[in-house]
Amino acid sequence: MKTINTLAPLTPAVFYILLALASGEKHGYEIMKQVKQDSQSQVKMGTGTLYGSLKRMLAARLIEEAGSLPAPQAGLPDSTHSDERRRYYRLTELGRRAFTTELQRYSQVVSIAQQRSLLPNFSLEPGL
Amino acid sequence: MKQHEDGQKRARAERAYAWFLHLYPGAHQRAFGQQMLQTFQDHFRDAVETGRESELWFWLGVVGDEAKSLVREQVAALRERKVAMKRALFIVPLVGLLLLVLALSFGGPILRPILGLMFEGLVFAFYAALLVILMGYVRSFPQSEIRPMCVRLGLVLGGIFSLYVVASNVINVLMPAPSDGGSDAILLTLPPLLIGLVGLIGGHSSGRTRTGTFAGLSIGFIGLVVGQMSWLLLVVLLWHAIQHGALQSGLGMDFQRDSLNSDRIPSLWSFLNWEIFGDGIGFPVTVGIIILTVEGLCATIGGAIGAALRRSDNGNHQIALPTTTPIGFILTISVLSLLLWAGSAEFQSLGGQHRLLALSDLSSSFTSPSAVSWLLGFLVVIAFVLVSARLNPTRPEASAASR
Repeated sequence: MKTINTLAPLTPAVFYILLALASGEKHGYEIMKQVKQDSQSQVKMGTGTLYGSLKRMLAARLIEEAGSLPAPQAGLPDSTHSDERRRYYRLTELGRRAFTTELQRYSQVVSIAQQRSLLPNFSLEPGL
Repeated sequence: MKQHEDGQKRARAERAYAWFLHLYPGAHQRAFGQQMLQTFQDHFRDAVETGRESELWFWLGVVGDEAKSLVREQVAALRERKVAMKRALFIVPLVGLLLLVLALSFGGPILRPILGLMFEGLVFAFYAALLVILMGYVRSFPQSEIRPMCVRLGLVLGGIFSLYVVASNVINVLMPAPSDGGSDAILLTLPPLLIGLVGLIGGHSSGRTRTGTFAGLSIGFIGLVVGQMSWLLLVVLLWHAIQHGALQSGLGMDFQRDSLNSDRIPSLWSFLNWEIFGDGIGFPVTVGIIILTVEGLCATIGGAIGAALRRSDNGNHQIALPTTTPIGFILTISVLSLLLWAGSAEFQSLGGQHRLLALSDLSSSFTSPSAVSWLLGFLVVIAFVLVSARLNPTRPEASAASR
């Protein structure tokens, strides 16, 4: 669809934020940590960069503020410090579709590269 | 003791970060300031207080990131302010000149004897300045959030429409005037049809009504300016033929009428004044402004329909236009049919007169009762479309987001 086409290709920051939010609502610091973890520290996003990206993604309707705070999740050390300043974000339908389309694009690129033997030792296994 | 030290350290860090936040544009501070402070606290606690990062390393990262973000947000804010300021700078002289031109036109019968030959010169100088400022004002729009595709679409179709207007003017000047002289049978005209459709395309492609408005209105504006300018140029070029009665067209008849109405043979300036400003009441100028307003309305309606369709598309996870909500689809088809009907009626009407559309046709068609009722019907339809779009809870819109 044209909407999604106009959004692609996504920047690394936008892509990793969408990836972080694909598994559920998160607040700013959770997104920051998730991005660092998912990108294996390749994408380091400070607070300023994070909120600049969130602002643009909100304007593009890729994400939205969640209506209410979710219950504290296990393994998140800062959940106990939640207060009214914390805002949670989630993907919109458009954001989810943009993310899926981008994943498909990556998949096609990898597939083409494999067909052309450009990645002889490449494996899609995670962590390899 | 360590807890107390950590607390003091954290408070100092928060104060320092709060100072950074003051450097952001006001809107950004208001929207995200508290959240950013909270995120910073989380980060500080997680990185420094747990000993995962040294304080120096932590602050180096923060300062580097904030410096980049500050520049980016300030530049973005500056760009927005620049566009807003440009518009504000244009709007004052624009309105002033518009009022001045209208005042001179309406006050023509009183002012002409007082000012003498200066009257025509003043009117034309103000009118030319008005057009130039109007062009500058419109130019500020593409720098905002209007999508380049829609700008190009508007400009290309505006160029095509301009050629049509110029051809229409040439024919009107050179061809003999139709014996019936009137064109009241014309319902609405080709320009609103074209502009409404372009508005629809613009609105649908971006999901924003104002993109459609701009795309459509740029056609009307270009057409209006080119039409008026080409009319002036034709009169100047053919002045010799007009003076000697070689033209049997509407323009030639206008000259004869002016000669009869005044005691002397009209000069080029006074004839141009008559052609552009009519009988001292600013009729063509007023009509031009009304045309632009109606065209803007059509473009906005088209843009609103396009944006509503886009929202429906997104809400239904569908792709093509026929897969929108039933009410939106039915109303869109109705509107398009209505537009096509109006367009075909116009073509038939013009075909009977063996000529192209002229600006005078626009004025008569816009003020006819059928046109007014048509517009009212159109407004009712768009109200339904907007209501149906508002009923849709999901309103994702598209824009260039992946910056």
